[in-house]
Amino acid sequence: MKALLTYEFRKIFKQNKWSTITLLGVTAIFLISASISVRNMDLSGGPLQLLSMFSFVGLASVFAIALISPTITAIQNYFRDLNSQHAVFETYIPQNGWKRLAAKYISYFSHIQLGVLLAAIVLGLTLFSIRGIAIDQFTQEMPYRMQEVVDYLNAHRAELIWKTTQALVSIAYGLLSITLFFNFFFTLHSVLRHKIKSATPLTFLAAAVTSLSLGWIDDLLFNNTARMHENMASSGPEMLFNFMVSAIAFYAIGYMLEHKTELK
Amino acid sequence: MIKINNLSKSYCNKPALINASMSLAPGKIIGLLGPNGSGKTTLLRILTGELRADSGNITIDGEPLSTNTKARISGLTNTDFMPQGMTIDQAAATYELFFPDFDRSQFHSLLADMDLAESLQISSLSKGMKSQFALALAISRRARLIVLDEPLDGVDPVAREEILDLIAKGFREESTILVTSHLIHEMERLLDEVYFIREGEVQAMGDVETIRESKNISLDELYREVYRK
Repeated sequence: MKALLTYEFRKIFKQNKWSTITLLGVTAIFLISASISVRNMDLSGGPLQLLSMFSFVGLASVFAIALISPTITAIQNYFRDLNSQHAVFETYIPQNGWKRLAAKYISYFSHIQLGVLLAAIVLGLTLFSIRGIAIDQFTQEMPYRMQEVVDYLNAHRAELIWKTTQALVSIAYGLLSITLFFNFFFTLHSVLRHKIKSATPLTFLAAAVTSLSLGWIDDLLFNNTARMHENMASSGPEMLFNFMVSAIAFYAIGYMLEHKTELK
Repeated sequence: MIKINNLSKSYCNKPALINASMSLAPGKIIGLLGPNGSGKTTLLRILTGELRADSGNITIDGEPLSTNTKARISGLTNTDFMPQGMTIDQAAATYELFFPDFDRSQFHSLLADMDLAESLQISSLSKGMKSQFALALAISRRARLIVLDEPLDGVDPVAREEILDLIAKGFREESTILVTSHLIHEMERLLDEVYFIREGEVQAMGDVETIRESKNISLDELYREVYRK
């Protein structure tokens, strides 16, 4: 398992080293420019306002990239592991399917979690950079309410940290479930492709039908309003359902990987 | 002994292998020779786990082909098979990570013979160099079975000679090398035993030395004779 983890993490590190450094550099530039423009803005318009807009659009883009790109990378990597030339090496590895899969998903989850964390930091720093101007406005318009919020946050600091951590893990877990869903169908495609000529459309059809069915079961089991308030990282029934579906998909992928998949 | 029994495989109802059977004894370099599209690569890819047979079975020293037996098979079915962006050294480290039978010192020695620096990026290697590097990785394992698919394909005559020397140098008595090729003349000097394959059907031709003595023709001539019909 250690060898598999080392291999998977090395792969991710190699792929993302330069893009992460670039993203961090760009984030720093946007944060500095946002901070400068906010500090010096007189709210009457002009070039600083344009710079501020540019900085915040940039930070929003960084936020979106950090949040979504590890999930896309995970789906892409898994697809490559079954279809690209280096997929040949993957088949030489003398390890059980579930172990190979577990190592992949541990590395995917770590990467996604880091992305979510980076996105949260970018969001936090963006809010921090506009804090000055916001406090000015709040203190002019509603000083009493603002003080109330600050007092509440100070009194419930531990709870706030726990809730934030829970939310960050739950977002990463949600994104991992999406990855698992896509990867199940990529695995199915690798099983079908030498048997049935229409393997590709059949796989997409199966994915669409499964997606609709899962959506329907989900609606049937949990009403929409309750779902909006349910936390995925809690121990609620929706979380259990999500976990069971993911566990079945994981087992099926592991089995197919070890016994059924074929390369091109 | 490695036994392949009645192996069949088809792609979308088009047969690629039909009841193929072979017995591969240790200490031998065995050739699987046939024209393009005859099923050679399919058979090798089933051995390495890239493809699954529709029927039939393979045993390695009595144990059916499984994840465990992968540890005893070293494959070379594609020369460009390591993850992108790796250097030769990193590829060797990856092999060492997964295969305890990988002999790094032998790999170093083979690299030195080929004048390949370990710091080179695999993507920067020429086709011939990639073939040599991949072959060095495959034969540096003390595996029970080493399968080499068309190691001479697409390389110039000088590089072919070097590759043949590399195989001869890396060969160990406890291993079996199963090698496919349609370049019979070049391969001939290396082979102990030979199987011919045509349209998915495998035919045992026997010991190469015996063929030469009994029929008084070279393997190349025998191959031409068989496939001309």
